Amino acid sequence: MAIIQDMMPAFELFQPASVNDALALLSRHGKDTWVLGGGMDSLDWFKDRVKKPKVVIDLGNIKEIEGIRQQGDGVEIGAMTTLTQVATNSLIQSRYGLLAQAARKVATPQIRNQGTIGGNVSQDARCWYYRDGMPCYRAGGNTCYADTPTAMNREHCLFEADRCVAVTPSDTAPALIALDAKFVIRNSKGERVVDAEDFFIGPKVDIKRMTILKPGDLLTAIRLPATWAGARFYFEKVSDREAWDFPLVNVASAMIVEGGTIKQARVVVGGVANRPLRLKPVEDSLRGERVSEETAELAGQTAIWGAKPLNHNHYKVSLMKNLVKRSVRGVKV
Amino acid sequence: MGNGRVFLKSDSSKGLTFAEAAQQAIKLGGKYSGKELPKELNPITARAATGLAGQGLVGVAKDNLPIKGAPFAFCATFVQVEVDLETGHVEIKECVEVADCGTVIHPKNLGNQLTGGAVQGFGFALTEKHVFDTKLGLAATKGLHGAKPLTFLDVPLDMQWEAVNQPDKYNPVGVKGIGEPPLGAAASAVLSAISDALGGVFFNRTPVTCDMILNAAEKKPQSYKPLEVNV
Repeated sequence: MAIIQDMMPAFELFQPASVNDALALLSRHGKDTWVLGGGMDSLDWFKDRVKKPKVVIDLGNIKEIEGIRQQGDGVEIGAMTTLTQVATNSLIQSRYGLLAQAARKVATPQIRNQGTIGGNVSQDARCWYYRDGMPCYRAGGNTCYADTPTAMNREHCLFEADRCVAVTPSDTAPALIALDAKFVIRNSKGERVVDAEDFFIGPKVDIKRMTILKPGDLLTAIRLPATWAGARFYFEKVSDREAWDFPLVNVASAMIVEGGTIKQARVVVGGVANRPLRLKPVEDSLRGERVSEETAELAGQTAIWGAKPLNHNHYKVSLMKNLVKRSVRGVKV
Repeated sequence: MGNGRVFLKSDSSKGLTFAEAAQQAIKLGGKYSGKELPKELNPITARAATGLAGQGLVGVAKDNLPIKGAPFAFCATFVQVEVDLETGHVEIKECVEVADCGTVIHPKNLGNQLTGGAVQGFGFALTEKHVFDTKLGLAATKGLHGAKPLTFLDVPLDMQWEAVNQPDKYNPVGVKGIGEPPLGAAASAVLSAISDALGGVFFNRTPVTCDMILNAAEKKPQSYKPLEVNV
């Protein structure tokens, strides 16, 4: 990382070679510790001098949490596996094409070569006020700069606003929730496995975090069960340009369709709330229905129920409706 | 000249440094320091030389070409776009540019100027913008990432160009410039094509981003006011 010639505040750097060493370091140094994955989010924070951790633990040398392997009838992806590896892996491509597609849509080839799947799901909010270092609620202050009558909030949320109106920026997160992935989290007390859906939290739970990871926790792996392998997938991301951009809205869906009838469905939308939103009412409305324009239209309408747009983002309501509609049609126009 | 000196070709030890030459010119004055200028000068050259007179060794190029008016270069650009009415996404399918830049001297370089300029123009039309929070005086679109110039994936694979290759009679080598014309032409062509695709919706601003197109396609109001800028 030393090639970036910019002034970062000084920190003590540790590069452990095993998860156990990393966990020991995390418990020894406590709250001021920053966990560095691929560095694609971290280095921006450091260089902008907004986040100034005293200790940085670089996971780059831990081989045991890198790579993709078959596990039982599913697949386990190490948290430090790069997005390029995820997008090009033959197991992922053939059985979990939804995730391969989503990973391929992240940023640019250079960023995908360096950025990791663990980092992509753990990255912080991209609200430009927050990234600018404004003392907002999320940064520990007592106001939101993005939700005022004059604020520029084209990229902000439609749902679940609670003091903060930022959105989840990840492309892989909706795909992982649609695939019912399990996230493996380790800390000094042991290991626990949570549903992808529960990994992401809104500001109501804790405004300073985007995920359930607390200081001392380490995301080590993501497991994909066989349940949704080879289902009918749909992923689409809408952004201002085709590379190096975060989603305005993205959608990931997995469906099991038999004879034109939807047996099971999972539909998840990103970019509309602090966390990726799994649309359970839409899934319920789809179960047992035939794949048709009418079903798609109904799903789209159901999806946007309760959306509360801000001054500059009401287009996201139409965008979300249309993307959910397309995910049912399953055919990219 | 060499190594910061002027010297005799036959004996390089006989000469002056640039600084000494400039001092000498100031001492001699007149036509050496620019205090005295030849008559056959372009008015712009005359003004520049007058401003510099007395500060060193001043040389000027004479210009007595019979020019009436400034010769402009022109560019005509055609694009075909596909507008996704469900997402507001614009894909530029193909682009043809024709330049009137006088005599073509270096075809490959001209092609690069034309296509490169068009790519910048596409960015003006679709993504590049300044966004400000007017109350806090904060800029939202900072850095290369925030400014959003277009990437390879946003540019049509099919970009063609041609030049009329008519010499400009007021220029000794028949050329005109071709730096800027392709930008404005490409931006206007994309904006016109979007308006056409939407059945005659005019945004009267740049850039026209996917949210504006989607609002127009869904017949929803826009989130900016008519003359509001930097949104």
